[in-house]
Amino acid sequence: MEIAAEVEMDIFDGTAAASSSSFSAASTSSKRLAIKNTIQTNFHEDYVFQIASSPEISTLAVSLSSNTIKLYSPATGQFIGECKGHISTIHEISFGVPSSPHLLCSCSSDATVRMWDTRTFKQVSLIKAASYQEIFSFCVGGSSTNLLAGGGKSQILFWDLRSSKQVACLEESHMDDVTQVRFTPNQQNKLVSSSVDGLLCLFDTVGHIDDDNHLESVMNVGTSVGKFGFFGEKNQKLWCLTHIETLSIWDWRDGRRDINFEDTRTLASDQWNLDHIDYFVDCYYSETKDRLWVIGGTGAGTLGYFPINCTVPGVIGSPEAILEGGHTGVVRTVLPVSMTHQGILTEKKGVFGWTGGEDGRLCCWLSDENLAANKSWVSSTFVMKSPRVRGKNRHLPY
Amino acid sequence: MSKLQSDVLREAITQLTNDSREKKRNFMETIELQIGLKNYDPQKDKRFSGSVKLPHIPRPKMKVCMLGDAQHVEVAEKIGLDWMDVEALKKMNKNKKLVKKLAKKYHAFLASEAIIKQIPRLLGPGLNKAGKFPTLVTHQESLESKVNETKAMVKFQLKKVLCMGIAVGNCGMEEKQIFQNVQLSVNFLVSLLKKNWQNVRCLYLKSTMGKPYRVF
Repeated sequence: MEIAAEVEMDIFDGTAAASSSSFSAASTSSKRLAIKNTIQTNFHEDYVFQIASSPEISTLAVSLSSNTIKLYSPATGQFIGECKGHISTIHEISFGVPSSPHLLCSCSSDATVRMWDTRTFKQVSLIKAASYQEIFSFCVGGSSTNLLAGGGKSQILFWDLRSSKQVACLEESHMDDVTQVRFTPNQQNKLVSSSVDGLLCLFDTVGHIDDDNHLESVMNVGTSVGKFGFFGEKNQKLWCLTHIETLSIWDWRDGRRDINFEDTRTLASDQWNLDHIDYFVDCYYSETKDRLWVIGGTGAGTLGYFPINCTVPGVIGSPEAILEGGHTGVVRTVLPVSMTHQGILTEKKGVFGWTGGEDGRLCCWLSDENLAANKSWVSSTFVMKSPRVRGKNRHLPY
Repeated sequence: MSKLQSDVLREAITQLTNDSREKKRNFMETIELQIGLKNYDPQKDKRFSGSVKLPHIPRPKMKVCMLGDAQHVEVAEKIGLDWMDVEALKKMNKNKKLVKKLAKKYHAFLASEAIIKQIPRLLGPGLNKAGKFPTLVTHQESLESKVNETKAMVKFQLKKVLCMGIAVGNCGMEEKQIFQNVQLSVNFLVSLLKKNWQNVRCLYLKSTMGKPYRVF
């Protein structure tokens, strides 16, 4: 975790050490990142939906639009294995069970939440909802941390992980697809849900959960909500991205909106002189610096990290990191290095993070511009063709 | 900006409104923009759904109710807007049937800040289930303009097929207003598609009981 903090400060401080030679097109404080390597995850037209990892293990899990999850080594980019089983679109993956670091969980439109052992690639657990359902999001938590919450079509389902039995179903608080469910970071007995119906709901999950008594608060975003996340010193704030590509900031404890960036894409695009920002991938929050960035992307695959000043009325600043030349299409996922295992990186260069997109590519980005790194990435694109040879070269000392 | 030709659009709107005038119906026909998409995969591509505010109100008869504190109730009275105060909500006693009845009576709700926080406790999830959870009105904004803003919002959502419709007006509106509503909604929707106009296969305008007119 210390290394992660170093990496973050390296990027987002003006005081970067060695090679701070940025080809600053946008502004003097924005850094263009170099690619460490690019991995083509498939040779069909499948998209990379999401990349997941955990600090405890050295595996990257990548969900694809072909209903499978592929596993890669983050250090070498080598393909390790594949978890097959889902029969419909995978919507979310995560290493969300704290006591089991090798357990990868996934949910899908096939109405299941599945768990996989990443060492054997085998499915070890299957939780089924009714066949008409689709699970768009899941989260593990609750006051006893044994609760699995799943967001479905108008419903939020709860299962007890110990018995795999369904223990509750909330079906009155949303009337359209529930796009995300998350237990709140500090108080694990509260759950926030977002939906296509435009609402963010806060529930109490202690005891027997029912619609009438457990809905605590409702925040009306006004339009279909795609994603949200917690941030702030006490995790009391929420950032929220909608399907019409707007961003808003909320205080979920008070149930009120702090800031609404109505034309977020234009506000971001105005901060640089590259192509128009067409969509937002995610938001990134640095706990150590208490700063929030929104990650915007262009149709051609360029990403920018735009800082958000959360003091009302709120300002979107010029991008502090630009990731160009990695993707050739819409980027769907970004995984910051702080969410991965750092220890086994053979090169001591700071990895910034990983991105995946509709071009089927998985890109690894470096946190400082190092011309040597630029040269080395050309050869690493052939990693799929001769993984073993490359592996040998890496570990044989001369 | 768009590939939508103004003259084609104007002509379609004229014909559409003329048709409606010729064969009079007992209700005000809504005009819908029908979009056919291409090169888009609903399973793989990002969701296409949301709400957009149109420049001119497409459904003027939309019924809105204000769930207000003392100050808002006063303003609501003045502008002839239906309202309910905290006492009236408390009387409902979280009765599901009463809440459902209330939800059916109005198309949309507005609520003061003090009240909106109490709604889950006072009414339960009834308004959520009806898809009519209130929108917040602060004391800094004009209640009347908030009502108009609410009436001007239209929802769009692409489900599993490549076509969808969005309300853009009614046959009683001026042609110029319909034109502006269509232009704005088309440009907005196209800006959300990753390949913009390359994702649009066709566009039609249609009144509720009339025949569709192609505009793209």
